[in-house]
Amino acid sequence: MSSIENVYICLAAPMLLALLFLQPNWRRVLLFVLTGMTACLLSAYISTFLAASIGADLDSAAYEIAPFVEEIMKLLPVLFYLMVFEPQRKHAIGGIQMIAVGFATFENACYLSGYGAENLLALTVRGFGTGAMHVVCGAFTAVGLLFLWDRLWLRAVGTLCLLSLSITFHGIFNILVNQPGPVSVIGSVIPLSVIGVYLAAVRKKVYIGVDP
Amino acid sequence: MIESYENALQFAVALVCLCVSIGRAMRTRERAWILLSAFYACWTLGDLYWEIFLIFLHITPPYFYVADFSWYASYLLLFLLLRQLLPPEAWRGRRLLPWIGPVFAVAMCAFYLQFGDVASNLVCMALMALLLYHAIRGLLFLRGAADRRQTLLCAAVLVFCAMEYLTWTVSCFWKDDSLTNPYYLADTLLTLSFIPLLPGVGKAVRA
Repeated sequence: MSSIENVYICLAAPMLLALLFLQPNWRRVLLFVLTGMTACLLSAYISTFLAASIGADLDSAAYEIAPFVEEIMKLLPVLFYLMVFEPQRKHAIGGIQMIAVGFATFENACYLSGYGAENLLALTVRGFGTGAMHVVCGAFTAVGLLFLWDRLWLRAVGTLCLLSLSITFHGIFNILVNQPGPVSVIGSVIPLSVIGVYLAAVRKKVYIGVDP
Repeated sequence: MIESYENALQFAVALVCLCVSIGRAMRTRERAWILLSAFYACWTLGDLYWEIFLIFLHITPPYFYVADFSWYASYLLLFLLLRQLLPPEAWRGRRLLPWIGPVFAVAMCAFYLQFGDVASNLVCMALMALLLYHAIRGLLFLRGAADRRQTLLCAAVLVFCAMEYLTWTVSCFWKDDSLTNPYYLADTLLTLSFIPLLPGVGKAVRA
């Protein structure tokens, strides 16, 4: 058994120290990563609490509760950043993605501490899969928040819709990667494929660019 | 078993519609196509989550309804689509007739509460009331308008709502897993009601 707070402190301590010395741009990036990690830690607490309070087992918590809690916890710092600092769009997109990266990094670190680091191939698949899944889910929300709607109420409703898309995508990923055998690999490959399709679309300049 | 096939059919139709809609969104870069793509994506992912849960865990999700949340979001996206494509004048002024939609939704909710849980029925009622009100209001506005090209979209949304209600109502009375269960026919009709949304948006976007 491992305590995720200990993992968090080990990972966050050097980052916190670096924050004191870095230039503002670098500091912002690191702060986003740290925020993502903190959101992941809090998600674990909330998911555990909810699972215990409704008597859900480990699988139900992973498939039904964790996607809700994790996507909402990832969205909250993004909303705070957008509302309080009113950043430029390019900074906001980077921030959302770095929060997702921090979240995925801490989740992978917790997985390593819980299940060991012996099987390199399985960990590589899982590492890339989890990272890709959080980045894709972050991207869904970013599109809603930054591109699709001009009026505030439309943005709120639309973001809620895209949040639900992220939650369902996350739920499907969690079910697949927790199955034994090739299903787990397929689960990890799906978000990587989404990123691949997106990159191909960007390269061919057929991505959707909607004027605000 | 039949439920699995029927879910797979619905997933396949929604996926094809999603691909067509994404293709149009990329070509035209119209916000309406992106909204319709998001609608189909929500529905497709909801179906996929439900199917995967059934296949691997052999039960329906027991605690939080991730798939239901996705389907609720798709209702909201249809509402956003109507708001996006109909002119602002459609929402101005007072009209009594569109309130038939919310009244119908409340009455059906009172009926469904005898069978299902309170929270999901109330959420469905609110979203369907919103959708029915806006679709009827849009149709009434377009009846007197010079440009009526959004009519197909409003009608398609109404048909979609009607098929949803038919599916829910039938599922209250027939539970058996056989081909004679009219639920499967109703759900297939619901699946088919996804298709008219494509020409509906296509026509409205050109308006």
